[in-house]
Amino acid sequence: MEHSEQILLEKAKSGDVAAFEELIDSYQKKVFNLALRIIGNYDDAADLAQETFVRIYKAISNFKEQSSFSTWVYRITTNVCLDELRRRKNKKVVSLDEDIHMNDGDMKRQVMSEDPGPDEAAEREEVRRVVNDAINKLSEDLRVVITLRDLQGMSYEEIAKTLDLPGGTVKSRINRARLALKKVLLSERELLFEGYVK
Amino acid sequence: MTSCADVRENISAYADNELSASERESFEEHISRCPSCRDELEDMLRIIAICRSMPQQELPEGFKAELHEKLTAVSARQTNIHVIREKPKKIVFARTIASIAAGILLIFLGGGIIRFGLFSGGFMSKSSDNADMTASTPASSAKPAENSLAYSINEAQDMDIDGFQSSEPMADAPMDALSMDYGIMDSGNGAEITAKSFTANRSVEKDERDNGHNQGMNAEAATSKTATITVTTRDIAAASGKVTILAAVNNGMAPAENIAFDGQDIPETSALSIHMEEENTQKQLQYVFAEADYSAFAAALNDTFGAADVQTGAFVSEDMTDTINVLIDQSVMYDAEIQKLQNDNNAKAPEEINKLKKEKESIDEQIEWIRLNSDFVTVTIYVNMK
Repeated sequence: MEHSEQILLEKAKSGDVAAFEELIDSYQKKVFNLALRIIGNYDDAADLAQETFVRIYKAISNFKEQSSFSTWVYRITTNVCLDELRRRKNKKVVSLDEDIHMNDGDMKRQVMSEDPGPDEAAEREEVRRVVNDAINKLSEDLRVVITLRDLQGMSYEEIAKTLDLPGGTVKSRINRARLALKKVLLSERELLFEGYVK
Repeated sequence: MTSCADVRENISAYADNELSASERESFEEHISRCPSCRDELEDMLRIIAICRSMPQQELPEGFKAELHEKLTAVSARQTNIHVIREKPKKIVFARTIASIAAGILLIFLGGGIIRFGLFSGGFMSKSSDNADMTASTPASSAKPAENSLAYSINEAQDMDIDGFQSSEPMADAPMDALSMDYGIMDSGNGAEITAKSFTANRSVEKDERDNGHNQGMNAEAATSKTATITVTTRDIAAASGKVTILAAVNNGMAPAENIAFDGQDIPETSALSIHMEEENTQKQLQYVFAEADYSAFAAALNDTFGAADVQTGAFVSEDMTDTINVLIDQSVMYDAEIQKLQNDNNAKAPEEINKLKKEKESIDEQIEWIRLNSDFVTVTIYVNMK
């Protein structure tokens, strides 16, 4: 842990809101994106990311520093999001149509802003839309590991710590997730898949 | 010799550079002579490249500002005693306490002794205390709305244990109320004297607290344990009935909130049907179990409804040590303040004493609730329509 992060952590533990905000500044976008990936809906992801940080703030005085702060942050994020998913399953309020619609809208804005030229942009956007849908169709177990690995760039060991899973389970879930993605992509958009990234 | 099946199992790990040197070597050896596995690897690399190229979304507009408000609200609540929703006539006692409360995490020596004396006997004889309090302040135990107020305070003390409550009630709390209306004292000279003595005692108490902290003394450990179970059924009413019976035979009790708020007067039905929110598609039931009984209850549900229709959800255990100790400190401070007022001959004192007693009652209820939760698991059962 960096020196400055340690100092901020100590201050945050004593309830200093400003120090806490500085401490989590670099995590906000990642936590939001992780929540977005798990929950599949922009507005809900924002709410859950907020809830995650409120919980972290409340619990930070109990943070024992046995794991790294980032691992702890992502662990709480995944717990908050998975709890929410379970609750929704119980309450049956999930609207898949709406989720996909939301994501499409978000994707579009994001891709356009990168401005790589109209054709390429359209193609990339299409690929991303398909991949986005494919990831959303994965079971939550697989979706979480693939997000932590490929979107957050965590090592297998970090993922194992974050999710409190054995290393072997992480490894097999990542492999299964990618095979499942491949299956979806090949069946849905074979040409597109072939033409993409070399 | 490495088989194709082995290689395919390891494809992701290879691509992620997560294989050991020997695994890697045999993997590469196989790939070099097996075209179909090589194709698989290429596909996998493409998949990974696509996943990694997925854009990160920007934070929603206003995200940080909204979070800042929530954090400030939580922070205010963690350091202030509580909210009294009336205009303060004279903020004396409250200001002092609010500043004392800031930063308190462990109890001080003197307070600890008072506390144990007070609560070991105090809670057992609560029924008689309660009788008085109920007579003078019926709202504290009779109105559900009052309970929920107490719970929103609980929530702010990191007690979002059951997941029903969103963070909304907390975020919505008016900041004015938080920062202004801590408490009320209007007993003229008496109040001034009280305030001074509070201030004078403060530095001594702090030293004692620090000592207590260093020696690890007087801290009361507490945990909040909750669990959720979902039962899916075609007949919600019948299934809820079965759940109720299974809970009863496995020593399920009314949730602590009912015990705490209703005191000695627990209605007979409350042990069996608590917190039902009837909807067309779902019914929620809540029971409190000893941990061993909870396992037995979960197993009984499985046996009755079949494993496919019973989903045992998250078992959440949360450290409440700091929370309970802050509350205990607050309760002790109230006692001291009430005692001082009782020694006062001010004509208005009885009114204030009642007010303070009512506030203290609410804190004590929270303490008792946390204690009960420490020993038991609060289980929420969702009965869902198939």
